[in-house]
Amino acid sequence: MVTQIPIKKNKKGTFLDLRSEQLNSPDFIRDFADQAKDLAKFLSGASVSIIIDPSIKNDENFDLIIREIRTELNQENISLKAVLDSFEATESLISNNTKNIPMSSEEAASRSEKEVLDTSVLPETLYVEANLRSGQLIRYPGNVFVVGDVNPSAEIIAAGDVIIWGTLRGIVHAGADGDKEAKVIAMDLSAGQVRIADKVAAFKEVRAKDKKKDGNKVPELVKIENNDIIVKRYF
Amino acid sequence: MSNSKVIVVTSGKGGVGKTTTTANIGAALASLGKKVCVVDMDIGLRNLDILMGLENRVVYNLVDVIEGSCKLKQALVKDKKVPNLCMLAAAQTRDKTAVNGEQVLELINELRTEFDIVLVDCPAGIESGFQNSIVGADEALVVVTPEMSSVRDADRIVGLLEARKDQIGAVRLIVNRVKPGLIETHQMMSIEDITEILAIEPIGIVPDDEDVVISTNKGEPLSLLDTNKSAGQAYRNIARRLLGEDVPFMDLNKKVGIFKKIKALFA
Repeated sequence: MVTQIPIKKNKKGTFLDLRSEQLNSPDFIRDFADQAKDLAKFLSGASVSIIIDPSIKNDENFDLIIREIRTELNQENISLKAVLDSFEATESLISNNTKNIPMSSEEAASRSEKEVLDTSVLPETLYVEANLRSGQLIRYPGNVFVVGDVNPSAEIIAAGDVIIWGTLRGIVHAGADGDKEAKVIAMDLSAGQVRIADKVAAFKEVRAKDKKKDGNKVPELVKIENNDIIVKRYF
Repeated sequence: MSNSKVIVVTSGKGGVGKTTTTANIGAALASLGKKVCVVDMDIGLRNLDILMGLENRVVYNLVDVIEGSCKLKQALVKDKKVPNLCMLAAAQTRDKTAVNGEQVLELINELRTEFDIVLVDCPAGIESGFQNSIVGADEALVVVTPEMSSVRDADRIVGLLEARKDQIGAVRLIVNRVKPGLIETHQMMSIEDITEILAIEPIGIVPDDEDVVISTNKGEPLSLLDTNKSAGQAYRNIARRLLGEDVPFMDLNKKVGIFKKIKALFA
């Protein structure tokens, strides 16, 4: 039997609540295809965010499941905006503080030329105006722009670039779908770890000393160059 | 309803001084003339009664009230020294699952009708015990010690509290066990380091003071003793700030420039 997926709507967007679904069961995707058809009756052309149970993130097939959900939605002309775990904090953060900045057509064009593993075009940039606190997670299939700090053990996983207008102390994974061209820019980069595509850089100890030395906070850029993650001054 | 205030004392991490803070601020508020009830929500690991020196007077506890085994009035234990201070003990023989949020909310609302201020001592962690403790709160005090582990856990807690912005109007910080000497030599996180990460308003800075251990073991909240010694004074100042008074932050170390830094921060 196919049950109706709870839909939450507020002025910031539409959310599909998948917390009670067995996302990792083989039946789910088959049923979801039918459910997506139902959803399309009134959500066709819209973009939605899905809310998932945080425990599913540990499933080995998690990325695959999300990809299949996105494919099913896309087939019904619904785009997937963000994947949120069910922590109340993250939920309210997203529903209260996000606005969308449409990508410029130029940017969108250059994006579509890139060899991103997931060949779907990246969605609108996710704009978050808040401090991301410990334990809060943003997983988004596009670029993420944060106005605020990203604190230790807060996490951003984005398919595109991540820009932090504030201090980055937590974990950021840009190009999480494999885009090696993705970059991370932070006003003050104090992170312990930055990941881009399949590369990981941990640099806390060394950088802490450097920071103490000059004391100046300059915006920095993290990207992959010659197959290694490098950090350099943004200007 | 009445204009009473329910304040939850929380931290995420254990052992940073939530219960000591609850006992001392509760006692200080009561000695300022408020009708105060301190509630121990740490069901299964109760401690507040010991700090208040009331462990031998507890007959009924919070779970008894919720289960209807006794009336609320029967379970409230009056303080020995300050008559307008009451305590509601947690059950020691049960665990966090003995109560649910709705029951706690009902209890808190009953306490509101009797008291000016209800201080809730929250258990460590972010599970049901924490959720039950914040269910009726109007304000929160987040206790943190100058350690990265404590700050990270507090950050998590602040995130969870901010998600209930509509209910919990103010989230304020108490920095506990501060050692000015160590901060001066950069061996301890400074107040600025902590507030920069947590980005919430501090309401008190409590110096590390061995008298706290002594008074805890005696069961006499330090804030009630008539001394100008540092920690007791810091708790009394927090109580006055909670009542809306503008009290300057204490000079923790006259010899070094730390006070100037702190003062500059809160100016």
